[in-house]
Parts: sequence; C-alpha cells; structure tokens
Amino acid sequence: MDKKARIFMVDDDTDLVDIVRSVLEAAGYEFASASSATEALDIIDNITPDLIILDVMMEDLVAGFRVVNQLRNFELFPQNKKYENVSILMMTSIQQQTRMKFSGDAGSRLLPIDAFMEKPVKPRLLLEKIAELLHR
Amino acid sequence: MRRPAPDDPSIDGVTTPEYRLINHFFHDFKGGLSTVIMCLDALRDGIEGAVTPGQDKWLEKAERNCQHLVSLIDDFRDLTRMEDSSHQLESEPLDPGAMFERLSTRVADDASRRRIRTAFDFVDDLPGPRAGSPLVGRILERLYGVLVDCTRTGGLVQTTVRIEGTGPVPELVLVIESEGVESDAELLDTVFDKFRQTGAGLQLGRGYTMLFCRAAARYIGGDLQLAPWPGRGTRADLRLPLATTGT
Repeated sequence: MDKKARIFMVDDDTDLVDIVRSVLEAAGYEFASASSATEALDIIDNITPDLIILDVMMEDLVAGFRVVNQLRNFELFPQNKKYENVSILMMTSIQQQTRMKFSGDAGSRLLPIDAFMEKPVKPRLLLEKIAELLHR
Repeated sequence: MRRPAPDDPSIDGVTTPEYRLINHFFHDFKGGLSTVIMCLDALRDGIEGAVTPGQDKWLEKAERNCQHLVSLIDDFRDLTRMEDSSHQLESEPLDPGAMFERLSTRVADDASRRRIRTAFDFVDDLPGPRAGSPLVGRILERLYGVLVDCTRTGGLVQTTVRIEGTGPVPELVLVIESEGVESDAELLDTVFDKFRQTGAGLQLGRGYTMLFCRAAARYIGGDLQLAPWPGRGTRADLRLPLATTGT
C-alpha cells in the first residue's frame, strides 16, 4: 500500500483547519497543523510533510512570507534544503489587499511557492490542486 | 534556485500603517466568511454523509449569500483603491462571445427564481478573444444583480449589446432596460452618491453596488449612466473598453 501523503497546514483560523483536516483525512491524507509561522518552523522537522498549505497573515502581516523565506532561501537557511521538493500551496484571502499579485508571482523569485489559491476555496478544488502538486 | 527578494517594494508596501489597517479590516471579514463557505461546501460535498435535496437547497442559499458578502467586501476594498488611483489595472484574456453566453445563462437562471424574464440581443460580430480588464466581468455581474433585484416580479430585463469603435480599444456598449423602478433622471443620478439614501422604493440605490459599477467602469475608461425607461422602469447605459487602458 502506498504511504499516505502528509499535509501540513499552517493557518491561525482553527475552524478552517478543522474543515480542511476533515476533508483531507476523508480523502486518505495524513494531516498536521500549526497555528503560526513560529510554531510551523519549530515543529516542521517533526512533521516531515509532503506538502504545506500556508496562510499569510497570522501572528503578523507577513508571517507566511517568513515561512516561505526560511524554507526556500537555502543560502541563509541551508538546513532547510531538505524541503526543497516539498510543495508549498499558499492559501490566503489577502492577495487583493496587498500590492502583490500572488497568482502571477507564484513560482517566481519574488514568491517561490508552487501554487496559490485565494480563499474561499472549494474543497473539491483543493483536493485536485493537492493531488496535482503531489504527483508532478 | 528560487529565492524571495525581501527588498522588493511590493513586500514593503504591505507593511505601511495604511496597508496594515486595510489588510486587517478586509482579512478579518473575508477570512471568517471564507471559513463559513468552506464549511457549507464541505457539507454539500457530503463530508458528514449524504445531503438530502431539501438540505442542499438551504445550504445553497446560505452559501450564495456568503459569496455575495465576499463580493461586497471585494468591491468596497477595490473602490477605496480606485479612489486613490492605487488599484492596479490588470489584463486578462477576454472572449466577449463566451462571456455573454455565460452571463446571459446565469442572469436568466437568477431572474427565473423571481419569475423575471430576460432577453439578450447581441450584434453578430462580437470581437474574438482579446485582452480586457477583469473588472469588465465584475461590473456586468454586479450590475445585473441589482437590475434583476429591482425588476418587478414577472417583469422583463432586456439587453442590447453592440460594439462601437474599430481602433485597438473598441467599446462594448450595453443598453439594459429593467421593468419596475422608474424615477426621474435627477433622482437616478443620486444612486451613485456615497452615504445617501435615495428614497423609499428606489432599490437601485441600495448599498455600494451601483457606485462600484460606475467607478469601476470609469476607472477602465468606460462609463455607466442611468435614465428613466418611460412608463416601464429604468435604463442603464454601460460602455466598457474591451482592451485594458493605462497598462
């Protein structure tokens, strides 16, 4: 039997995390979560995720960007090179509140994530996106 | 290797006090609603077991109303940005023919819930796919929402669409007539005033939707005017450029 993929969700909205947990576990994924960027970076080595679902605004306005920076800037954080192939799916409602065009910037030098989805996200579309990211 | 650029001005921009304030305001409203919508979606998808048609009907109503609130938040946010000219004009592929096919179907579905009739009359030669502002679709969606809402039960919403201009930025010209609310021209113009109740019965003046539609149309180089449809109701004249200007 295939190993279950492990999804690590970083979001401070505990109700949303509960929903996504239910949806993903029902679809056969393992699930873990953290409610802040600081907590995520503290525990990620214990989680060893296959994919990260990441919010942006948590304990501060750019908390999610800080996680991306630490997980993708291998010069500053060489210990995180092991996460190079772990997909980051940014899921946030703040795209339009900022000057950034997340969907256009995803995958760029400015925003080195693998995909972006703006909340609200339909559970079915989230499952499709996760499957796509895990199998590419 | 992919690396972030922490010195990029677009990241600095989100840390200014104004952006902090506006980010938190919209984030808190939209975040909560997004969670509700995902709950409703998950229930409708059967996360807790099969949903009966009756249950699904109520869940759909709740979801549709939450989506409407999300749309209002987006409009209000973008309106604030248009007012200080900081809303970024983007461009996306736009296929007028396909857009109107989808729009007319959706408007007809929405209208039929209230036994309102719709009629669309298109020119045969709508231009093919081209660049356009994402605001075009939003303006049309919002405008029809209000016009259908203020049409009397059993009434008619009729649209004629034509293209004017042959240059690089032809205009989409729509005349949309709605049977129901008829007001004089002066009063109709107050519909676009902020923070003004336009009088009992003039449902066109509810909220910020018409204000958003005109502001957005003008922001991309078009316009929206309202006029009486004598003896019948209200007429909206909408002009929208079919290629993004100013980019």
